[in-house]
Order: sequence, then structure tokens, then C-alpha cells
Amino acid sequence: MASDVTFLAIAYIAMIGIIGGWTWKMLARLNELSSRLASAEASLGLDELDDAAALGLDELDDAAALGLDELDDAAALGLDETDDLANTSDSSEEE
Amino acid sequence: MGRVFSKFAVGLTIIGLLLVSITLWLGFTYAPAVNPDDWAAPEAYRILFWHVPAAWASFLAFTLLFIGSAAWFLSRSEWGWKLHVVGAHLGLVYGMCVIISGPIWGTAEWGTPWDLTDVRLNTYAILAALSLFLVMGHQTQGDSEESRDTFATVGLFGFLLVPLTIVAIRIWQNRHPGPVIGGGSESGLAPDILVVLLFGLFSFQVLVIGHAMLVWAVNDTELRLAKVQREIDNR
Repeated sequence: MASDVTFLAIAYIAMIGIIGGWTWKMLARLNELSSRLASAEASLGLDELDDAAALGLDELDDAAALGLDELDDAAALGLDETDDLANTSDSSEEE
Repeated sequence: MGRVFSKFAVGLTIIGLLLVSITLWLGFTYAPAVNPDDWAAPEAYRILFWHVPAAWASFLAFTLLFIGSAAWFLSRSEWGWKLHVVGAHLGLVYGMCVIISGPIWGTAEWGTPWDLTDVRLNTYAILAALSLFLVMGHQTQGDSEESRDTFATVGLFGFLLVPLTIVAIRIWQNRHPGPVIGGGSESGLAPDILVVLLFGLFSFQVLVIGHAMLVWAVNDTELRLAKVQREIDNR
């Protein structure tokens, strides 16, 4: 029969493999998801939405917690502001 | 929450990994050798320094599973469901550590990997199998209220095995050793061994909390990504 040191080594290699492998998998998954989320947010143009990118992630989370409808509202607000600006420039031109 | 939470989870996980590595090193360097006359495999006893803390970590994971399952049932809370998922994942990871290292140690020390007449071994095996069922179920079944109810039921009733497993060696001790902490005057460990074991217990608790936050962060990021993708699709 193998020596008890061999059993000791096998047990620790197995446990290190389980914990290390699973941790690595989770970290890789988190990195991948974070990248995809950043790309998706960029394609949404979140900087227009309530200046979310400039405000930082806490505000993004708050917005997420409120639901995307609030983001839509923010977008609507952003557009209104743009419209207002456009109206202002229109009126300036008229003057 | 969000990216700050994720960074904190990663940081705590790395600290936990560092601590359990130190435990391993202490187990080989600081912890003394045991009397070879009292043990069939005196070196293999050092499996104890990860085996027991991993078991305790798994009990914390199963407790999270129970709280999450109960919260889902009582209030249909999303955080309850997230906690259920976290508990199932961690129960499987740490449960596998215990289920694999235990029989290896058993083979060295007892000459047999398993004793079907030992209640603790069997109840713990069922607990680990339950977490495997839950993790596989989460991955293969669609996420619906009905499936969540089913899995939460399994999580709730499965938790009954935790106190049963803890008290099993006090009531029906057969082959598995008695509790090393709080098990009476006959079950005490040498002080140097106990110090390393207690450090290991602390290290694994840090690691399991870091892991719990990591799974939570992954789950949370998945949900946020799904929301943003829905928003993109709606445009």
C-alpha cells in the first residue's frame, strides 16, 4: 500500500485543484461578464443616460436597482434637454 | 454594489486563498508529528488542517442555502434566490473537498475509504449530493418561479441534514473520529495542532465569505447584463 505521505499529497492536490479550479472559473466568468456588460453599456450610450458613466458605477447600480425604466426616463430627460438646447439655438438664429 | 462590490469580492477571495495557503504551510511546518504508535498513518493526519475547516465552511454554505431558500419562499425576494444559488455552489465546492479528502484519509488511516454504517459519513454524502443536484438543476432547468420553488424546497429540507450531521458523531459515533472542539476531555488536540486548526477554521471562513461574494457578483453581473441587453433589443 502507498505510504501515508502519498495519501496526504493526493488529498491536498485534490482539494487545491477543486478550490483553485473553481475560483479561477468564477474569476474568469466575472471578468468575461464585466467586459460584456461594459461593451453593452457603451453601445447603449449610457453617458447620455443621466450621465451614468460619469457618475460612476454606484449610480449605475442605483439606476439598475430602480429598473431600466428610470434609465429610459433619464434618456428622455437627456433628449428633452437636447431638444431644449436645439430650441434655444433655433430661437437664437431667429433673433 | 457593482464594480466596487466585485473588486471587494475578488480581494477577499485572494486574502482567503492566502490564509488557507498559510494554514497548509503551518500544517506541514508548525504542527508537530503525532505519535506513530497511536495512528496507522501518522503523516496523513495533516489532511485534518483543510478537511475539517472545509467541512465547517460547507456548513456555512448550507446555512446560506437554507436562509436563501426560506427567504424565497416567504417573500419571493430576489436576494433570497441569489443567496440560495450562492449556498448551493459553495456547498458543492467545499462538500467535494470534504467528500474527496475524507475517503483518502480513511484509506490511509482505517484501511477503507468509506463505512456505510457510519451515520455522519452518509448524511454528509447526501448533503453534498443535494448541492450537486441543485447546481446541476440550476444549470439545466429554466429559471421560473416553479423551478425556484422546487429547488428552494430541496434546499430547505436538505438543511435538516446539517444539525443531524453535526450531532451524528456524538450520538452514533462509529468509525469517524469524535468532534475535536467541544467534544469532551477525550477529544482534545495538542495545543500546537489546535492552534493551526483554529487558524485554518478562520482562514476557510474568510475564503467562503469571499467566494460567496464572488458568486453573488457573478450572478448580479449576469442580471445587469441581461437587463442592458433587453434594453438594447427594445431599441
